[in-house]
Formats: sequence, structure tokens, C-alpha cells
Amino acid sequence: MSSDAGHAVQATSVGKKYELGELASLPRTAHNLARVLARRPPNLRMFNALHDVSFTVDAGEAFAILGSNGSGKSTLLSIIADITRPSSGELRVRGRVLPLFSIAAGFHPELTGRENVIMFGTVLGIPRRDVLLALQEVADFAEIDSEHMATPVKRFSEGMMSRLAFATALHFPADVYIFDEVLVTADDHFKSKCAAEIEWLRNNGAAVFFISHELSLVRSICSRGMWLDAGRVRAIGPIDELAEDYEASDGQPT
Amino acid sequence: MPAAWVLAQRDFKVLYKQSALGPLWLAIQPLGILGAFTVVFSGVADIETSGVPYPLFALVGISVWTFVSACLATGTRCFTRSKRLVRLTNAPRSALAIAAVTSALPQLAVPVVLTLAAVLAFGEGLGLELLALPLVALWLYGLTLAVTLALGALNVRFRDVSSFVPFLLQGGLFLSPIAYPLSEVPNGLDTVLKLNPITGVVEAWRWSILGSPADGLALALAGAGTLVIAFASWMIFVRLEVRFADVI
Repeated sequence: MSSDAGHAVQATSVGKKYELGELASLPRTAHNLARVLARRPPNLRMFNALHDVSFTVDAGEAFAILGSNGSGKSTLLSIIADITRPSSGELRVRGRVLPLFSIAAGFHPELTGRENVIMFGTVLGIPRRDVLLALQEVADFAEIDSEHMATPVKRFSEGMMSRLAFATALHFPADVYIFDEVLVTADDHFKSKCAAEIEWLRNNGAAVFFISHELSLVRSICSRGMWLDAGRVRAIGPIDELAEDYEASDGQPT
Repeated sequence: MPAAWVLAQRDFKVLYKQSALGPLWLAIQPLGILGAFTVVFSGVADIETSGVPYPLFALVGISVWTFVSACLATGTRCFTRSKRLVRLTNAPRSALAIAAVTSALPQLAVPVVLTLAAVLAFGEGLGLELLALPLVALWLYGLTLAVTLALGALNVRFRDVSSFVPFLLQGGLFLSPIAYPLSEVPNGLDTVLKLNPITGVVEAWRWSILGSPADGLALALAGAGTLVIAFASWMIFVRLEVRFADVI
């Protein structure tokens, strides 16, 4: 239970429940009112997105989470990022988390590439001065020229958006990085560049969570992983074994 | 909070995108309302404003009210408008409410400048009371932020709030001494108006710019009301915030 010195992330029996159906609507209000008048508790339909998930990830590790759509991968990552809280169990994270969910999560279509990097970086909690200093480096890494950096991102291609978002995230210091399906639209050249950069982050003591349906990419980036199946842990182990089992089960090969 | 500041800049920048008159609306809005008020309250109803020219008198209230309504109208949606930020980043959520209120500050500053210009144009002097205006503005900012935080948080769970707010704003305009002075309100009813904290802020604002004496009871009630609202709003926000990503 107590904080174990080596672990960057430690999950103990983490569970997460969601309520199903519309959270507020006139029929529901009427229904709830009728239940209250009848002195009966309202009947909630709940969905177990995660159930009894335990694992540890150490600093310097790149950890994969495998699983089909709806297996709870993103829910788990939002809990690690402190975006939502577990319904049960405990999750401890050491240091700062930098989450990147989907491409351009925080990007505003009307703002330029430059303005978006500044906004995104600052929203992630990075001092404005540091963002401004890193701006050129981010643009270079994303391979976006200065004219595009001055153009509203609504006119960017998906690939450009994902490169810019990824480059922004990579350039800021954190202890735990989360990359959830963010390289889907990037080309192979950019993917290998990012793989090298993630390797560098690991060597510098960061823990990295990486999710992708592209198993070959996951295998080249991660050392260990966890297989989630309908919100439960099916296996945890070295990535090669895990990926083979996952593929063999017809989980979802690329 | 740097995050709140960049988000405020974002909110302000996108406000006048693809708008032909752009920031000119900052002046058109209050002047338009002033025109309507002058016709109704000075022309039709002939309200007594104890020696102060009616347009000056009304501009003060309008400055406060344009800011409050701009904040509440957009601020109620400050979290639901930024669904992606709430669901996909761990940015501090209060920054979105602070940004909504901060980005509306030009809608306070421009009418204030217009008021001051009008005071001089009418040949009225400005007193030392003007030095207190920043403090009164800070009070207004705090009060509006508190209400925005609570309404925004409630709106995440129940969108009913966004249907309720226009109605609240319409009623509030009549129930605050924006277009008429407190002195014109019959006894008894004026006590009800003084329970509305905006009444106290408007009184203080008028005192600061026009030097007209502020109603003591209105100030005291508004001060106490602001503290209660600030505390209650923060409690509401803190309680609801943890579930934002789940229910937004």
C-alpha cells in the first residue's frame, strides 16, 4: 500500500463504473420522481468499465496496454492522468503526468499552429516562457514550416495535427507520458522518429504508456505490457509474449 | 494561473472571428442598450436621477450589466464548450471559468471608457472616488466568477442551467437598479432589490464615477451576499468537478 520507491505508477484493484443511459432527461426526471414518491431507490443501470485492475510500472519503462475497443484502455489512462477518479481501488502516480489522448485534444481549430502550441503547452502546466523557447524546436520536430505555424489548424491535414500535438507533448518534461492512439495518422517516417524520441524519454527516467492497434509499433516501442479484456486484466508480461498471445487469440491484429 | 490566461486570450480571440465589425461590438452593444433605455426611461417614463443626466446615469449600470450578462451567457457553457479539454487533458478546470470571466473584461473596460468620456463631455467633473473604481471592479469580477463557476459546474450535469440563465439575466435586468435609481423604488420593494448583490455593486460603481451617495444597506447586503455566494459556489464546484469527465 505504501509508496514503493521504484514504481512510477501503481494500481491496486482499480475499478471504474459508469452510469448508462441519458443522465438527465424529462422521462428520467419523471421516473426518478415516481421512485422517490414510492420510497424506492432509483434504479441505475451501471457499466463496469474496469474491474480489479492491478499492476505496477517503473520509471524508465515503456508499457503497452493491449485490448479491443471498449476494453477499458482509455478509461484506465484517464485515471492515471487524473482526469477521472476510480470508483474503487487505488492508483498512485509519482510526479507529473503528461497525457496525450487522440490527436490535438486541446487544439482549437480557429487558432494558428503557433497559438495552439502555446495554448496546449500552457494548459498542460508548462510555464509560458518555456513554451516560447521550445516553439521553434517543436515546429522543427513536427516538420511544419513557419507559414503553416501561422495558419489556423482547421486547415491542417490530420497527419500534420497529430505531428504537432505529439511534438508539443514530447518537448515538455514529465515523469509519466501517456500516448493513446496518437500516431494513427502519422507516416512511417514520423513514427520511427517518435519511437526514437520515446526511447530517449525512457532512458531519462520517464515512464511511458503507449497504446496503438498497430502491434509492430507497440513491440518496437514497449518492453512490457498488459492485456485488458472487458475491463479485466487478462495478462501482464514482456511485450513479445503478450503480443503473440494477443494476436493468437485473434484480439485485433493490425 | 497561466493556463487561465491563455484560455482567456483564446476565448477573446475567437469571439470576433469572421465578424465584420469585430471589436466594434464592444461599443455598439452598450450604446444600443443606452439608446433604448433613454427612450423608455427618460422619454416615456421620465425617471428622476437626482440631477445627473440620464445617459450618464444609465451608462454606469449598463457597464456592469453588459459584463455580467456576457460572463453568465458564455460562462455557463465554459466547461461544456471545452469538452475535449475536460475529457482529454488534466488542465485545471477552474481555469476555464476564470478564462470565461477574464475574456469578458473588455466588455467592461470599453463601456467604462465610454462612461468616463461621457462624464467629461457633459461637463461633469470626476472626483477622487474614481480611485476606488479598480476595487469595485475587483468585487464585480469576484462575484461574477463565483456565479460562473457554480452555474458552469451545474451545467455539466444538467443542461437545464443554460435554459435558465437567459431567463435569469432578463429578470435580473429589471430587478437591479440599472436603468432606474433605487430612490425611485417604493419602500419595501427596495429592500428586496437590495438583496440582489448586483444592486450594491452598481451603487458603489455610481458613487465612484458620478459621486452620488451609495445606499449603505445595499452595500452591506451585497458584501455579505458576495461572501456567501463565493463560498457556496466554490463548494458546488469542488463537489461536482471530480465527475466532470464522466458526465460531461
